[in-house]
Amino acid sequence: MSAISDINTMEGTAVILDEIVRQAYQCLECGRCTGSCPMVELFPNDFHPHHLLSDLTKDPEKVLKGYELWFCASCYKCNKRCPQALEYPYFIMQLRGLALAKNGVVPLRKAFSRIRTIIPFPVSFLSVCIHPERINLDPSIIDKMHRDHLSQKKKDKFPESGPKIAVVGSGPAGLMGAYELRKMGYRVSIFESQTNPGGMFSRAIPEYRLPLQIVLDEIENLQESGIEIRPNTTLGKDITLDQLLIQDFKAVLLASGAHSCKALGITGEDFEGVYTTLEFLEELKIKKKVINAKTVVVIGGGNTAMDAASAAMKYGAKEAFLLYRRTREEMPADMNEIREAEKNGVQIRYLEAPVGIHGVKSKFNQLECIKMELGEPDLTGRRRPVPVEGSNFILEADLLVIAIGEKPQIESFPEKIATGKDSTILVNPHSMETSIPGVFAAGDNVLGPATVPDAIIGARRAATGIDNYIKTS
Amino acid sequence: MIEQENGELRIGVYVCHCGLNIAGSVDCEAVTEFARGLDDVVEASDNKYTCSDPGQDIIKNDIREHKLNRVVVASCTPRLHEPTFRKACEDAGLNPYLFEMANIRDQCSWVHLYDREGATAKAKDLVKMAVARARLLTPQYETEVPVTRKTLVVGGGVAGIQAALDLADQDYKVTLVEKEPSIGGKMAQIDKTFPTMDCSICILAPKMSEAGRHPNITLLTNSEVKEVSGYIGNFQIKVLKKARFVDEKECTACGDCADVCPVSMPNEFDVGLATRKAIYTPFAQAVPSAYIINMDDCLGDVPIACGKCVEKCEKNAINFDMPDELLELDVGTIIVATGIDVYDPTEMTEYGYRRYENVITSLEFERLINAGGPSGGHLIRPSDRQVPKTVGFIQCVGSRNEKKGNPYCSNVCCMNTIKDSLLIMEHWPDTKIKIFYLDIRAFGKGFEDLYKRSKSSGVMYIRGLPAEIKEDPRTKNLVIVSENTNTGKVEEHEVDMAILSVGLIPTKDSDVIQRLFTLSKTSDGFFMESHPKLKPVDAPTQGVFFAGCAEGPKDIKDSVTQASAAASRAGILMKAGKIKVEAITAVVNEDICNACGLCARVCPYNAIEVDTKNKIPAHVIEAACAGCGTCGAECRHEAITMRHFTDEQLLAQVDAVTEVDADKKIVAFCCNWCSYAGADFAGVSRMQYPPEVRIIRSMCSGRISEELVLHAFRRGAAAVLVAGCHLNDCHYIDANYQTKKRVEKLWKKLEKMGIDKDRLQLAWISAAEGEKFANQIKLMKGIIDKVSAREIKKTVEVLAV
Repeated sequence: MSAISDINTMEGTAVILDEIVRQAYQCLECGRCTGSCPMVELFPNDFHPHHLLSDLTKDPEKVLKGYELWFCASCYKCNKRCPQALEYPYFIMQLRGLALAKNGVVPLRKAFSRIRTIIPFPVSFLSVCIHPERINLDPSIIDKMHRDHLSQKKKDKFPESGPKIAVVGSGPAGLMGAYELRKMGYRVSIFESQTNPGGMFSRAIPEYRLPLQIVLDEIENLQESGIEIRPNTTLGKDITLDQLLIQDFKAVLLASGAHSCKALGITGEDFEGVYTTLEFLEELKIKKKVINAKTVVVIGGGNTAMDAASAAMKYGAKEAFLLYRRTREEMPADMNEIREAEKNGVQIRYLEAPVGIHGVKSKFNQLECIKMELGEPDLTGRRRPVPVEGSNFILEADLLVIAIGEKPQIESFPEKIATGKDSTILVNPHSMETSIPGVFAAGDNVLGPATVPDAIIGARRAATGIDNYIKTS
Repeated sequence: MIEQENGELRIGVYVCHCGLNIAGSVDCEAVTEFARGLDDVVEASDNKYTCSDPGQDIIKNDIREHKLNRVVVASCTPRLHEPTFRKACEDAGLNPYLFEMANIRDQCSWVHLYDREGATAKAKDLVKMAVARARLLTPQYETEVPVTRKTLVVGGGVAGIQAALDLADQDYKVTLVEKEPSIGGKMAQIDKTFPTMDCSICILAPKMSEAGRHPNITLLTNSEVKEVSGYIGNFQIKVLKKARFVDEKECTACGDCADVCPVSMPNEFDVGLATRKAIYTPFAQAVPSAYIINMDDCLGDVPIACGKCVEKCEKNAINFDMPDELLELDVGTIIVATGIDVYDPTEMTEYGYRRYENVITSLEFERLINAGGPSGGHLIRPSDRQVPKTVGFIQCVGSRNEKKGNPYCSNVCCMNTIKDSLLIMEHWPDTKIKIFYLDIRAFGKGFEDLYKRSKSSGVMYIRGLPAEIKEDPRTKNLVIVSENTNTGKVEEHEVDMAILSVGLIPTKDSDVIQRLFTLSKTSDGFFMESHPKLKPVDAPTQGVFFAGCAEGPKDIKDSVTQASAAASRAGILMKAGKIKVEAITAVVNEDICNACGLCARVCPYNAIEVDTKNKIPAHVIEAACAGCGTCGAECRHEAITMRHFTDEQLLAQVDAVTEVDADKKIVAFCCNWCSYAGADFAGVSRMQYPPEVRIIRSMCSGRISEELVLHAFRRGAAAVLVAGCHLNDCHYIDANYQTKKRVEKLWKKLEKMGIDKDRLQLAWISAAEGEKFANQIKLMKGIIDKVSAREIKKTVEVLAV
């Protein structure tokens, strides 16, 4: 498909639109996109992925004028499930580029006014999910929406008498859960382990995608509705579940995310210059550290790995390599993220894996790697990588980021809680209640590393679950 | 008799319109006019349908009236109508080998639909090439070979059983080879059949035992075909009969052995839902009705460890030292009935198969609801062995999916689910059944009735494929999330059990079968038939036929129908007892041959005898020669003539192509079985590609000698393509490895001579890869556009010597 830069010419625009419409005709109308879309659950009357596709075949110009286009959060679930393998989020990204060039920002503003009725941190949400930087959306437009949101926000007054609920974590899931519960009249306290609230918003999303100030502004705004945030308080360390219950909290929502980075299990992971993804992104974001490393190597094939590698390039690395042990076919990162990383100059090397981290005086300077080949498929259908014996080689670099996935910190969970694959908490899919009555969970600690909209819908369900629990017990 | 070989050449050319199939894109009158102007052409006419009786009559009359001694028809592919026109010539007294065809439909009009000028110019060239070859044709006389009146049936599912029985009842000897310990196949695992709701094993078991005791059928279970050689009517087969460790004849299937066996393993027949012992019989109705030991599981290969079954067996039927046997068979025909496997949905992680206990596949369901199955026919859910009150079926799992599973429709899953829904309603009428579907395909006799019955019995059909299944960890109930595409609303349905209606996939070992019998596969991985409409059970390899799902997903009725058809096709061959083989074998001119032995070394069939020590010239064993022409291409002394595909004939075709505008043309040498058929397939599929290519057909790419390629370049051709079957898929065992070697040598040679080696392309294109052929020509169009006149001139000069 044509590159997005073609939008600048009339012919380019027509070609892109024609191609998208041609692909839209291939839709079998199975509904798997709509069924998997978290934004449909949040905005059932505004957004309908497969109907949008059929609208495209009928009148593409009308779609370009519509505000529906602005709801997709690019979570890629639809693409992963589409039997026709249509890359819906990529169509949407291209259509947004076309729509902006043709019809300006009015449809986006209309969508925004809907989004802010449901999501209490709408600008953070938009910045992360619609990737304004990829569709040439002027940052001043986002700024304007941010100012408008803060000034227009009605200072909601909710009753101060409801039962007390504790929320653990102030990331997207925690904030959403707290807001929903507050709207229902509960008194909500959020326990946050960090100094800054916001979870991954304020720790991991690179500044060029989401400025920290926007997050803090929006949270401050949210607090005015009567939500209390207690920073620097870690569950399991500073406070226990039992203590929460003694303090008269009637229910608990665990929204502590997935912050524990998986380790490679090879020598030298503790060397200077070796980072986990979260450490690396945090260094860049909070300590505003400029990379003085020339060569950065990122290990992993997920969206976070792409983000880390892209950020390395954006913040001053001369070159960034991304090592993935399988091929592009098996790569879990979304196509858009891979494209973006490549656009930022990241060099992706497939079928290579690290075997040793070397350095001088515990300072990393060499990565020993081995070539891989694909063997038989494993249970998830992905072909298992097998090392090619004797193919070891050395990669000279001065900064290493290990981005092979995150999981919830199981050590912070209450002991009795039932967990499943990769330390995730098992919950009732409707109420989000855990195996401990009165304790609910949502977000990455249930799903493993997932997306903002998935965290939001989980938290909304949990809020309803908690409400039902309190009313019936 | 017509003067055929010597004297004046009198050629008749017949240009067919094929309705508008050809005439729509080719100016047939102009082509006819052009043909009339060619040397030695005494008669040329065009006709709406040359293959029709009146069309053939014109040819027959002209042969008599104009004393024609060569006939050229420009129409469709020789793979379709060459036999028709050869017969017409023969009827009129002309030797059928004096007939030649120009393929102006499949390889011209259909692939250049919108380029009338280009297509017409190409059609003229193709006619010119055919006439050039026709001039050099000589009469040939076919020899007859005997057909062994025995058949090998590979695969003992319902299709294999039916084919074996049909042939055995006609008094042919049949060997039925099955890799599992019992015949019966997938049908034996199924509970009921649609649309009649017959008990599957009840109707299959009598057929199984009939096959087991039929005097004309030899049953080889736990056996695999290892080697196939020979040709139609005269195949030699090697079958590995793996040791059963229990004497089939002695065993009474009393089961005492299994009672004492200490090893417990998942039972493959029950898809792992139940266990079996290391010594076992897969199911009660198994044929042969004898136990078998799986030595991987058995502890007794170290007899000190265990030998309980041996001690217990009163008939002394168990023998740990039983060896594998390699059996050799001579058969005249082969029926491939290797069936299918079912799709494993684990990779569709959103459905949680293997992660959630109560998500099962439709095949597991069959075992669960079967009275002979692990739960005695009680539908219970795995997590708590309770009868589910709500059941969800999910359709198209692994089917109609470009990403996971297969892009094709598996044909049987809709009806199977409809049947399953009725089975549940019959036993537990209060069950709530929800079927999530994309389309219900109820196309066969009685199918729609069954669908209506299911609907009217209260089964809910919800349009839309679920996006996800979630599990309630406490109750192990499942939540199916799905858009109801009729309302556009996303719904969540809580069910006690979800059944994934999994699709059918080619068997794991279909690659091995493909190689053994030199078959082709279509893009979906099933075996390709000789002609999709008119020869639907014939394999492209003569004497080999298909029955059942090996050729494509189908239900039991279609499998049985196809099995009887295959048996009938095989029977026709064997009834005659003999068959004419095409007169295309190699002939050695012993006066020129210097007994270097090269031909014998490259012959895939060991059909050439030569004594290099005593310098006794080479000699071809005609019955063994298949006519690939590899020897002819290798012979440095031009001592070998390939009948009907002589050097002179092929060179004359090259000359004809390169007479005008050679520098704008691609000369393509395509093998009859794969790449020529692939080019035809591009035509049938109307895949458009540039008209610069001229295809010259040979039986095998191994026939294409160095000289043929160099001659094309010498004549100024812009590029040359040599195309054959994929390596390991060669219809002449491995002759295309010689092609590969030869082309690689040529590349070096061209480079040395300063000729761009990209101008010679080698491609492996199967009969199913029309798109690949079209893409190859598009690629080569780019190459010829870049070749300069100077470069071509230089090439001609370098090669002129």
